[in-house]
Amino acid sequence: MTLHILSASPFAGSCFEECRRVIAADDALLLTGDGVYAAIGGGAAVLQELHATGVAIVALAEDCAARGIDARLPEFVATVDYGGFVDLAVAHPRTVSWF
Amino acid sequence: MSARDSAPRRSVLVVCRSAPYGRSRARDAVDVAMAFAAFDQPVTLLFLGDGVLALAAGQRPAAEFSRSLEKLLGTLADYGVEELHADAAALAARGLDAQALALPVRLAGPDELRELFAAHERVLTV
Amino acid sequence: MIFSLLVQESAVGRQSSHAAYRFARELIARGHTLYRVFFFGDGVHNSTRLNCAPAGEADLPALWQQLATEHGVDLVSCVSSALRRGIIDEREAVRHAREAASLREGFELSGLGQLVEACIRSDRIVDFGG
Repeated sequence: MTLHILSASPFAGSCFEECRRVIAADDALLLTGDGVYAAIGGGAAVLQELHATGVAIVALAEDCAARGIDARLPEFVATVDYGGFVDLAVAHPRTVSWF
Repeated sequence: MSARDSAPRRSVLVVCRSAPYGRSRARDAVDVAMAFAAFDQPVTLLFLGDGVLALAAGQRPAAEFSRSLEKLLGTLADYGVEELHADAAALAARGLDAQALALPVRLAGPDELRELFAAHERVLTV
Repeated sequence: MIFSLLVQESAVGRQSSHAAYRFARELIARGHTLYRVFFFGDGVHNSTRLNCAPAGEADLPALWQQLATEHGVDLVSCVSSALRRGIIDEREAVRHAREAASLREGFELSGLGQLVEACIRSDRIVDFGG
């Protein structure tokens, strides 16, 4: 049970792709910072595939709002505030950061 | 018995995703792995994505501006960092011959990578 | 639960250390313990006392200091990362014959062993790089 935290834009480098290769079905993926851009464009389809295998997809609400994409999030992307971020870290024994 | 002898041990996976020399992250990842080993923590060093470029043999940085990462890698075993793994697909994508790297590492396919992450209590990406 | 954080980027020009601070505040508000924040690489710039934050911008070094004062959080900057970047305490300033120390009060310089110890002692370690 791992919480993967993606904080770089998926279009800027390879961390989204590398995260995708190691993420497991009972893991969660939290999009923060520029990582929230994974929820739009081509990234959304990838996230949907992960979601279909059981990965919980979550995004930090204020980072989505800051970037003007909060109204465009796919419905399977849950949003949290920093309190929810803490709760996710508590619930997952392991965190892995991708940046 | 010293405090260190009785210290709890938590397995840690140190992940290097950065190419060497352009930034200092690859060297930093090695330093972090060595620190865990120095405190007798079970540590695995994983070279993922561009991190595999740190394993290229024949590195010859200009002496006054850069220290050789290849030389530092050569001391890993002396410092107790023995579990070294590299992303096999990343090596192939970058044209690196897995048989001719700066030092021997275990090649990891997608299943092994997933297992490595799941098998360690802590994962730190540097 | 006991948390420690690893901060690897400067507060200026990057969001990750701001996220780390927000996370730190929130975990304390939820009743968890923040044991240590370890600043590594460019993260040591969070420990300067010489920054001048413009009005309207978060002064993160000051905010970390306040957090430590209020909640007894251990703020450690990696000494080898710090020295290279001109983040030095009084002792290092004297040792290297520098005119002044730049390390903010509330922070200390120490080695990677403090990161190792934080990993051992904490239930959760969250890495704020990038």
